Amino acid sequence: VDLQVLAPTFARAVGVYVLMLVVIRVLGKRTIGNFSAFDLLVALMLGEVVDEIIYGDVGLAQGVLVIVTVAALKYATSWLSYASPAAARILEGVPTPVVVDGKLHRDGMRQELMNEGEVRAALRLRCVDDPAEVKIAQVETDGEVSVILEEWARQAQKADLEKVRTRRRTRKEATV
Amino acid sequence: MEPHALVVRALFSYVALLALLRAAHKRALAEATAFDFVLVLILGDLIDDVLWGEVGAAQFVTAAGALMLCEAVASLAGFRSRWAWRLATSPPRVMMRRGTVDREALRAEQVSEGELAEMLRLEGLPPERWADVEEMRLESGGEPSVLWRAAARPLRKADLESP
Repeated sequence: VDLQVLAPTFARAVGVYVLMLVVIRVLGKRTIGNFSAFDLLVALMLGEVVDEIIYGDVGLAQGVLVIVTVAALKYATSWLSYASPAAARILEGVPTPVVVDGKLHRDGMRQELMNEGEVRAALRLRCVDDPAEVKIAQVETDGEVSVILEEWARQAQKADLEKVRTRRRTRKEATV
Repeated sequence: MEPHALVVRALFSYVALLALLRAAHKRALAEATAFDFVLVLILGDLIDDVLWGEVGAAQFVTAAGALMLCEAVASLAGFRSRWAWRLATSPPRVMMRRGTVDREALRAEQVSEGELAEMLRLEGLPPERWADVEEMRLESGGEPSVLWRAAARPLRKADLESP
Protein backbone atom coordinates (compact mmCIF):
# COMPACT_ATOMS: atom_id res chain seq x y z
CA VAL A 1 0.00 0.00 0.00
CA ASP A 2 1.58 3.20 -1.16
CA LEU A 3 0.02 6.21 0.47
CA GLN A 4 1.88 8.52 -1.85
CA VAL A 5 -0.17 7.09 -4.72
CA LEU A 6 -3.41 6.49 -2.85
CA ALA A 7 -3.72 9.93 -1.27
CA PRO A 8 -3.69 11.84 -4.57
CA THR A 9 -6.08 9.27 -6.06
CA PHE A 10 -8.47 9.89 -3.17
CA ALA A 11 -8.15 13.65 -3.53
CA ARG A 12 -8.74 13.49 -7.30
CA ALA A 13 -11.80 11.26 -6.85
CA VAL A 14 -13.29 13.76 -4.39
CA GLY A 15 -12.47 16.66 -6.70
CA VAL A 16 -13.99 14.90 -9.70
CA TYR A 17 -17.12 14.02 -7.71
CA VAL A 18 -17.67 17.66 -6.79
CA LEU A 19 -16.97 18.80 -10.33
CA MET A 20 -19.42 16.27 -11.81
CA LEU A 21 -22.05 17.26 -9.29
CA VAL A 22 -21.74 20.87 -10.41
CA VAL A 23 -21.76 19.90 -14.10
CA ILE A 24 -24.87 17.72 -13.79
CA ARG A 25 -26.70 20.37 -11.78
CA VAL A 26 -25.86 23.06 -14.32
CA LEU A 27 -26.98 20.87 -17.21
CA GLY A 28 -30.34 20.46 -15.53
CA LYS A 29 -32.84 17.74 -14.83
CA ARG A 30 -33.06 16.54 -18.37
CA THR A 31 -29.60 15.04 -18.14
CA ILE A 32 -30.98 12.43 -15.76
CA GLY A 33 -34.76 12.28 -16.11
CA ASN A 34 -36.36 11.99 -19.55
CA PHE A 35 -33.30 10.18 -20.74
CA SER A 36 -32.78 10.27 -24.44
CA ALA A 37 -30.13 7.93 -25.82
CA PHE A 38 -27.96 10.93 -26.43
CA ASP A 39 -28.22 12.21 -22.87
CA LEU A 40 -27.13 8.78 -21.75
CA LEU A 41 -24.16 8.93 -24.08
CA VAL A 42 -23.12 12.33 -22.79
CA ALA A 43 -23.31 10.98 -19.25
CA LEU A 44 -21.18 8.01 -20.28
CA MET A 45 -18.73 10.22 -22.11
CA LEU A 46 -18.28 12.27 -18.97
CA GLY A 47 -17.95 9.09 -16.92
CA GLU A 48 -15.25 7.71 -19.21
CA VAL A 49 -13.26 10.91 -19.05
CA VAL A 50 -13.51 11.00 -15.29
CA ASP A 51 -11.87 7.65 -14.61
CA GLU A 52 -8.68 8.69 -16.37
CA ILE A 53 -8.52 11.76 -14.16
CA ILE A 54 -9.06 9.80 -10.96
CA TYR A 55 -6.29 7.33 -11.80
CA GLY A 56 -4.07 10.19 -12.81
CA ASP A 57 -3.57 8.93 -16.36
CA VAL A 58 -4.21 12.43 -17.59
CA GLY A 59 -3.58 15.74 -15.88
CA LEU A 60 -6.28 17.41 -13.85
CA ALA A 61 -6.23 20.51 -16.06
CA GLN A 62 -6.64 18.41 -19.20
CA GLY A 63 -9.45 16.38 -17.67
CA VAL A 64 -11.32 19.42 -16.45
CA LEU A 65 -10.95 21.04 -19.85
CA VAL A 66 -12.55 18.03 -21.56
CA ILE A 67 -15.37 17.81 -19.03
CA VAL A 68 -16.13 21.50 -19.34
CA THR A 69 -16.04 21.29 -23.14
CA VAL A 70 -18.44 18.33 -23.28
CA ALA A 71 -20.74 19.97 -20.73
CA ALA A 72 -20.67 23.25 -22.65
CA LEU A 73 -21.56 21.43 -25.87
CA LYS A 74 -24.44 19.64 -24.19
CA TYR A 75 -25.63 22.93 -22.78
CA ALA A 76 -25.32 24.59 -26.18
CA THR A 77 -27.33 21.90 -28.00
CA SER A 78 -30.01 21.90 -25.27
CA TRP A 79 -30.27 25.67 -25.48
CA LEU A 80 -30.37 25.59 -29.27
CA SER A 81 -33.23 23.08 -29.36
CA TYR A 82 -35.06 25.13 -26.72
CA ALA A 83 -34.61 28.41 -28.55
CA SER A 84 -35.30 27.26 -32.09
CA PRO A 85 -37.96 24.75 -33.16
CA ALA A 86 -36.09 24.19 -36.42
CA ALA A 87 -32.93 23.23 -34.52
CA ALA A 88 -35.00 20.97 -32.24
CA ARG A 89 -36.34 19.12 -35.27
CA ILE A 90 -32.82 18.45 -36.46
CA LEU A 91 -31.27 17.65 -33.07
CA GLU A 92 -34.12 15.70 -31.50
CA GLY A 93 -36.32 14.70 -34.41
CA VAL A 94 -40.13 14.79 -34.47
CA PRO A 95 -42.72 12.41 -32.97
CA THR A 96 -43.84 9.65 -35.35
CA PRO A 97 -47.47 8.48 -35.21
CA VAL A 98 -47.86 4.67 -35.17
CA VAL A 99 -51.60 4.49 -34.45
CA VAL A 100 -54.03 7.09 -35.83
CA ASP A 101 -57.80 7.10 -35.28
CA GLY A 102 -57.89 3.51 -34.11
CA LYS A 103 -55.86 2.11 -36.98
CA LEU A 104 -52.20 1.11 -37.22
CA HIS A 105 -50.32 3.74 -39.16
CA ARG A 106 -48.09 1.72 -41.50
CA ASP A 107 -45.98 4.65 -42.76
CA GLY A 108 -44.99 5.65 -39.26
CA MET A 109 -44.32 2.03 -38.29
CA ARG A 110 -42.03 1.60 -41.28
CA GLN A 111 -40.21 4.80 -40.43
CA GLU A 112 -39.61 3.62 -36.86
CA LEU A 113 -39.00 -0.01 -37.89
CA MET A 114 -41.68 -0.99 -35.41
CA ASN A 115 -43.67 -4.11 -36.30
CA GLU A 116 -47.29 -4.80 -35.35
CA GLY A 117 -46.30 -6.91 -32.36
CA GLU A 118 -44.20 -4.08 -30.95
CA VAL A 119 -46.97 -1.53 -31.42
CA ARG A 120 -49.44 -3.82 -29.65
CA ALA A 121 -46.94 -4.38 -26.84
CA ALA A 122 -46.52 -0.62 -26.42
CA LEU A 123 -50.31 -0.28 -26.15
CA ARG A 124 -50.54 -3.17 -23.66
CA LEU A 125 -48.10 -1.35 -21.42
CA ARG A 126 -50.83 1.32 -21.17
CA CYS A 127 -53.47 -1.35 -20.47
CA VAL A 128 -54.87 -0.94 -23.98
CA ASP A 129 -55.97 -4.18 -25.64
CA ASP A 130 -57.44 -2.90 -28.88
CA PRO A 131 -55.94 -0.23 -31.18
CA ALA A 132 -59.52 0.94 -31.89
CA GLU A 133 -59.47 2.65 -28.49
CA VAL A 134 -56.55 4.84 -29.50
CA LYS A 135 -56.91 8.29 -31.04
CA ILE A 136 -53.18 8.70 -31.57
CA ALA A 137 -50.08 6.85 -30.40
CA GLN A 138 -46.69 8.33 -31.24
CA VAL A 139 -43.07 7.44 -30.79
CA GLU A 140 -41.86 10.54 -28.99
CA THR A 141 -38.42 12.05 -29.54
CA ASP A 142 -37.02 10.31 -26.47
CA GLY A 143 -38.13 6.97 -27.93
CA GLU A 144 -41.08 6.39 -25.61
CA VAL A 145 -44.53 5.68 -27.00
CA SER A 146 -47.28 8.06 -25.89
CA VAL A 147 -50.89 6.90 -26.11
CA ILE A 148 -53.88 9.25 -26.33
CA LEU A 149 -57.23 7.46 -26.09
CA GLU A 150 -60.40 8.19 -28.05
CA GLU A 151 -62.92 10.30 -26.16
CA TRP A 152 -65.24 7.35 -25.43
CA ALA A 153 -62.40 5.13 -24.22
CA ARG A 154 -61.03 7.71 -21.85
CA GLN A 155 -61.26 7.12 -18.15
CA ALA A 156 -64.54 8.45 -16.72
CA GLN A 157 -64.23 11.54 -14.56
CA LYS A 158 -66.24 12.73 -11.62
CA ALA A 159 -67.90 15.37 -13.82
CA ASP A 160 -69.21 12.61 -16.11
CA LEU A 161 -71.00 11.01 -13.18
CA GLU A 162 -72.52 14.40 -12.31
CA LYS A 163 -73.81 14.64 -15.87
CA VAL A 164 -75.48 11.22 -15.61
CA ARG A 165 -77.06 12.18 -12.29
CA THR A 166 -78.46 15.44 -13.68
CA ARG A 167 -79.82 13.64 -16.72
CA ARG A 168 -81.53 11.04 -14.53
CA ARG A 169 -82.97 13.73 -12.27
CA THR A 170 -84.46 15.74 -15.16
CA ARG A 171 -85.92 12.55 -16.63
CA LYS A 172 -87.52 11.67 -13.33
CA GLU A 173 -88.96 15.17 -13.00
CA ALA A 174 -90.35 14.94 -16.50
CA THR A 175 -92.22 11.71 -15.69
CA VAL A 176 -93.62 13.22 -12.46
CA MET B 1 -1.65 17.21 -25.70
CA GLU B 2 -2.31 20.85 -26.46
CA PRO B 3 -5.47 22.27 -24.86
CA HIS B 4 -6.93 23.38 -28.19
CA ALA B 5 -6.40 19.88 -29.60
CA LEU B 6 -8.38 18.48 -26.66
CA VAL B 7 -11.23 20.89 -27.28
CA VAL B 8 -11.29 20.03 -30.97
CA ARG B 9 -11.32 16.30 -30.17
CA ALA B 10 -14.15 16.72 -27.66
CA LEU B 11 -16.11 18.78 -30.17
CA PHE B 12 -15.51 16.21 -32.86
CA SER B 13 -16.59 13.20 -30.80
CA TYR B 14 -19.67 15.03 -29.58
CA VAL B 15 -20.84 15.97 -33.05
CA ALA B 16 -19.94 12.54 -34.46
CA LEU B 17 -21.99 10.80 -31.77
CA LEU B 18 -24.96 13.09 -32.19
CA ALA B 19 -24.95 12.48 -35.94
CA LEU B 20 -24.53 8.71 -35.54
CA LEU B 21 -27.40 8.43 -33.08
CA ARG B 22 -29.74 10.52 -35.18
CA ALA B 23 -28.84 8.52 -38.28
CA ALA B 24 -29.30 5.16 -36.54
CA HIS B 25 -32.88 6.13 -35.58
CA LYS B 26 -33.81 7.28 -32.14
CA ARG B 27 -35.72 4.18 -31.19
CA ALA B 28 -32.63 2.06 -31.75
CA LEU B 29 -31.04 3.08 -28.47
CA ALA B 30 -33.72 4.86 -26.50
CA GLU B 31 -35.82 1.73 -26.17
CA ALA B 32 -33.24 0.56 -23.66
CA THR B 33 -33.34 -3.17 -23.93
CA ALA B 34 -30.39 -4.77 -22.19
CA PHE B 35 -28.56 -5.14 -25.47
CA ASP B 36 -29.02 -1.49 -26.42
CA PHE B 37 -27.58 -0.57 -23.08
CA VAL B 38 -24.49 -2.67 -23.75
CA LEU B 39 -24.15 -0.96 -27.10
CA VAL B 40 -24.25 2.45 -25.46
CA LEU B 41 -21.61 1.34 -22.98
CA ILE B 42 -19.33 0.21 -25.80
CA LEU B 43 -19.82 3.52 -27.59
CA GLY B 44 -18.97 5.37 -24.40
CA ASP B 45 -15.81 3.33 -24.07
CA LEU B 46 -14.82 4.03 -27.65
CA ILE B 47 -15.11 7.77 -27.18
CA ASP B 48 -12.65 8.39 -24.42
CA ASP B 49 -9.75 6.95 -26.39
CA VAL B 50 -10.52 9.54 -29.05
CA LEU B 51 -10.63 12.31 -26.48
CA TRP B 52 -7.15 11.49 -25.21
CA GLY B 53 -5.83 10.99 -28.70
CA GLU B 54 -5.04 7.30 -28.25
CA VAL B 55 -6.82 6.44 -31.49
CA GLY B 56 -7.45 8.55 -34.55
CA ALA B 57 -10.78 10.10 -35.46
CA ALA B 58 -11.15 7.94 -38.55
CA GLN B 59 -10.72 4.79 -36.50
CA PHE B 60 -13.37 5.89 -34.03
CA VAL B 61 -15.86 6.73 -36.76
CA THR B 62 -15.21 3.35 -38.38
CA ALA B 63 -15.69 1.45 -35.10
CA ALA B 64 -18.75 3.37 -33.94
CA GLY B 65 -20.20 3.42 -37.46
CA ALA B 66 -19.81 -0.35 -37.77
CA LEU B 67 -21.69 -0.89 -34.48
CA MET B 68 -24.48 1.44 -35.48
CA LEU B 69 -24.69 -0.21 -38.89
CA CYS B 70 -25.11 -3.62 -37.23
CA GLU B 71 -27.83 -2.17 -35.02
CA ALA B 72 -29.60 -0.62 -38.00
CA VAL B 73 -29.41 -3.87 -40.00
CA ALA B 74 -30.71 -5.85 -37.01
CA SER B 75 -33.63 -3.41 -36.57
CA LEU B 76 -34.47 -3.58 -40.25
CA ALA B 77 -34.30 -7.38 -40.28
CA GLY B 78 -36.50 -7.51 -37.19
CA PHE B 79 -39.03 -5.27 -38.91
CA ARG B 80 -39.02 -7.16 -42.18
CA SER B 81 -39.01 -10.73 -40.96
CA ARG B 82 -40.87 -12.31 -38.09
CA TRP B 83 -38.20 -14.96 -37.83
CA ALA B 84 -35.37 -12.46 -37.37
CA TRP B 85 -37.43 -10.58 -34.77
CA ARG B 86 -37.98 -13.79 -32.80
CA LEU B 87 -34.27 -14.47 -32.94
CA ALA B 88 -33.25 -11.04 -31.67
CA THR B 89 -35.94 -10.30 -29.07
CA SER B 90 -37.51 -12.48 -26.46
CA PRO B 91 -41.21 -12.39 -27.36
CA PRO B 92 -43.83 -11.21 -24.83
CA ARG B 93 -45.04 -14.06 -22.60
CA VAL B 94 -48.25 -14.40 -20.62
CA MET B 95 -47.30 -14.99 -16.97
CA MET B 96 -50.70 -14.91 -15.32
CA ARG B 97 -54.25 -15.26 -16.57
CA ARG B 98 -57.35 -14.53 -14.48
CA GLY B 99 -55.49 -15.03 -11.23
CA THR B 100 -53.87 -18.28 -12.35
CA VAL B 101 -50.10 -18.13 -12.47
CA ASP B 102 -48.44 -19.90 -15.40
CA ARG B 103 -45.58 -21.72 -13.65
CA GLU B 104 -44.17 -22.90 -16.95
CA ALA B 105 -43.83 -19.29 -18.11
CA LEU B 106 -42.30 -18.23 -14.81
CA ARG B 107 -39.65 -20.90 -15.17
CA ALA B 108 -38.96 -19.91 -18.79
CA GLU B 109 -38.45 -16.28 -17.82
CA GLN B 110 -36.67 -17.14 -14.55
CA VAL B 111 -39.11 -15.07 -12.53
CA SER B 112 -39.91 -16.35 -9.04
CA GLU B 113 -43.43 -16.14 -7.65
CA GLY B 114 -42.21 -13.52 -5.21
CA GLU B 115 -40.90 -11.39 -8.08
CA LEU B 116 -44.17 -11.82 -9.95
CA ALA B 117 -46.08 -10.66 -6.87
CA GLU B 118 -43.74 -7.68 -6.64
CA MET B 119 -44.30 -6.74 -10.29
CA LEU B 120 -48.04 -6.85 -9.74
CA ARG B 121 -47.81 -4.85 -6.50
CA LEU B 122 -45.94 -2.18 -8.43
CA GLU B 123 -48.96 -2.08 -10.74
CA GLY B 124 -51.13 -1.59 -7.67
CA LEU B 125 -52.40 -5.19 -7.58
CA PRO B 126 -52.41 -7.17 -4.33
CA PRO B 127 -53.00 -10.97 -4.67
CA GLU B 128 -56.73 -10.67 -3.90
CA ARG B 129 -57.15 -8.56 -7.05
CA TRP B 130 -55.22 -10.84 -9.39
CA ALA B 131 -58.49 -12.40 -10.54
CA ASP B 132 -59.37 -9.02 -12.11
CA VAL B 133 -56.55 -9.44 -14.60
CA GLU B 134 -57.35 -11.05 -17.94
CA GLU B 135 -53.69 -11.38 -18.95
CA MET B 136 -50.47 -10.21 -17.39
CA ARG B 137 -47.51 -10.36 -19.75
CA LEU B 138 -43.81 -9.89 -19.44
CA GLU B 139 -43.04 -7.74 -22.49
CA SER B 140 -39.83 -7.90 -24.53
CA GLY B 141 -38.24 -5.06 -22.60
CA GLY B 142 -38.85 -6.86 -19.29
CA GLU B 143 -41.71 -4.62 -18.16
CA PRO B 144 -45.02 -6.16 -17.10
CA SER B 145 -48.23 -5.24 -18.92
CA VAL B 146 -51.68 -5.75 -17.45
CA LEU B 147 -54.91 -6.19 -19.43
CA TRP B 148 -58.10 -6.07 -17.34
CA ARG B 149 -61.04 -8.43 -17.47
CA ALA B 150 -63.98 -6.73 -19.13
CA ALA B 151 -65.92 -6.38 -15.87
CA ALA B 152 -62.93 -5.19 -13.85
CA ARG B 153 -61.44 -2.55 -16.10
CA PRO B 154 -61.61 1.08 -14.99
CA LEU B 155 -64.78 2.95 -15.89
CA ARG B 156 -64.86 4.70 -19.25
CA LYS B 157 -66.84 7.66 -20.45
CA ALA B 158 -68.71 5.33 -22.83
CA ASP B 159 -69.82 3.15 -19.88
CA LEU B 160 -71.81 6.08 -18.49
CA GLU B 161 -73.48 6.87 -21.81
CA SER B 162 -75.98 4.05 -21.35
CA PRO B 163 -79.31 4.72 -23.07
